[in-house]
Amino acid sequence: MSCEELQRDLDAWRSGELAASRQTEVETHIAGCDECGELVDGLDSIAGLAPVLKGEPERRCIDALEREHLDRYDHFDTSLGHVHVAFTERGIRAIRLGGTKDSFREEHAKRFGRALHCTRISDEVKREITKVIEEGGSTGLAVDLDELGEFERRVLAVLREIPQGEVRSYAWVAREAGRPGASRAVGNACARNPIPFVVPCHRVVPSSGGVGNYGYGPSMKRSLLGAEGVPVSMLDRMAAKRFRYIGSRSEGSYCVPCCSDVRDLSPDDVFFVRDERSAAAQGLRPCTSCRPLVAV
Amino acid sequence: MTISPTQTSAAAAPDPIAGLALAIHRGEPGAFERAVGTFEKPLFNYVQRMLRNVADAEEVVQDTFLRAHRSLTEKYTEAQCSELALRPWIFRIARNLTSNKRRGKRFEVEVQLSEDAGSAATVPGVSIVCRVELKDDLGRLEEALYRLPASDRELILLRFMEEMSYREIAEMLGSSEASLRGRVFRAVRSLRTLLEGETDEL
Repeated sequence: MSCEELQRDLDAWRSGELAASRQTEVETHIAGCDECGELVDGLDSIAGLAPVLKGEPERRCIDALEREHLDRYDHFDTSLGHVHVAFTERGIRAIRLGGTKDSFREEHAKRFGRALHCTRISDEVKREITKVIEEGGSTGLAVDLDELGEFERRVLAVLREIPQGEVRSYAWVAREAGRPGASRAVGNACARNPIPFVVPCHRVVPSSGGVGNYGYGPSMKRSLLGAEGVPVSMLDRMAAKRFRYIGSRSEGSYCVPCCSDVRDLSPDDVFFVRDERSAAAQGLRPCTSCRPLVAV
Repeated sequence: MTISPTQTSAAAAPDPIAGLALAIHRGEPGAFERAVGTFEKPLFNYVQRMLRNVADAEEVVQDTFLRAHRSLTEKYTEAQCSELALRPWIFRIARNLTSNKRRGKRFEVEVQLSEDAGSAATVPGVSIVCRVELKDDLGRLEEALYRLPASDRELILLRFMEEMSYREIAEMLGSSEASLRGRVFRAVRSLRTLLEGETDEL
């Protein structure tokens, strides 16, 4: 066997990557050949130098990827169905009840321009999300609204302020979000709410009464509101009779239905009020807790 | 002289990344992060020394992970993922993106090369190599590496820095193991000539 033919195999021999017979052949040759032995020493010295090239740069590539391109994803079961959650280190970006992982991923890419990588959401957060889906209620879970438009962000912030067990009208949310009269835009923002349950868009109802529409269907909205202590059937009765507010004789004020201030009053004290114009005509002032709309 | 072969981890130890491609495909929590953690440094070291530019290397490595993620989660079937040799595959993605980057930046890179050839100060990782001796080695080795043709430099990096097996390198570059051994042998000979030439001058 010539040295030249053998030399190209020396490095593979060093790492034991040759076929067994060839390994032996090379080993035997090296033992008796000074030139090839020196070449092996040379390879050893280069291999010995190479580790200094590795350096120790501290990188957290996943952080950069998450900053620019990727959101985290996890999914789990609740009694009402499978839940998909997209989140960032700042908070929850999107939640959906039902549907497949693939469709959730596609929608997420379309809306936010971001891919999802699977990771574990904490059990505590999982429990909290399960609770607001199964029983309604409010949660302090952090949300990430960064990718939303300015108005959507404001609307979602207002929704989070609506107390559990109460509802507000689209017109009310529009006023609170700084665009009085933009009820339709609020309706759109609610319909597109990427974080239902956690951001309680189910607490927004039409000014004309009743519970109105919901992404997961009106009956889901009714049961969430009912579970939170909203007197849903009273809302229906008021809608049928075209009343929007509840007045208080002793307080001389009017409230949105199910304002917490109303609940403490005796049934004799309260009466239905048609609308804000009628309230003004009766000399009622708007309640300072629920801040109902005021006639202009 | 070493007689008994020293086993590299690539050739001997059980593969710590076995099943990782499939795990990412199936959406196992943390699988992608594990892949990023495993490959970010090796990929960066390789790409950075091919491009000689930290910012470009960081961009290429990020794009590599994004492409890999997209392919594994959206394009590849379960069967493809379970047969995939993840390391050569992900290095091949990085290699393609690196050569795109080089093509776009050829002029810039050449100017930079002529300006600061071999300056260890521009290389990350130097600062933490405290021992002067190592620093000298690193400087000398890098100097020599950058004077090698890119194709030789690549082989040295893959074989000795990344400690990839011949099979992996062959798969990554799409060549046969036998011809690869010849090419690595010649690259090592060129590198040694450069290193020895320098020592003589001192």
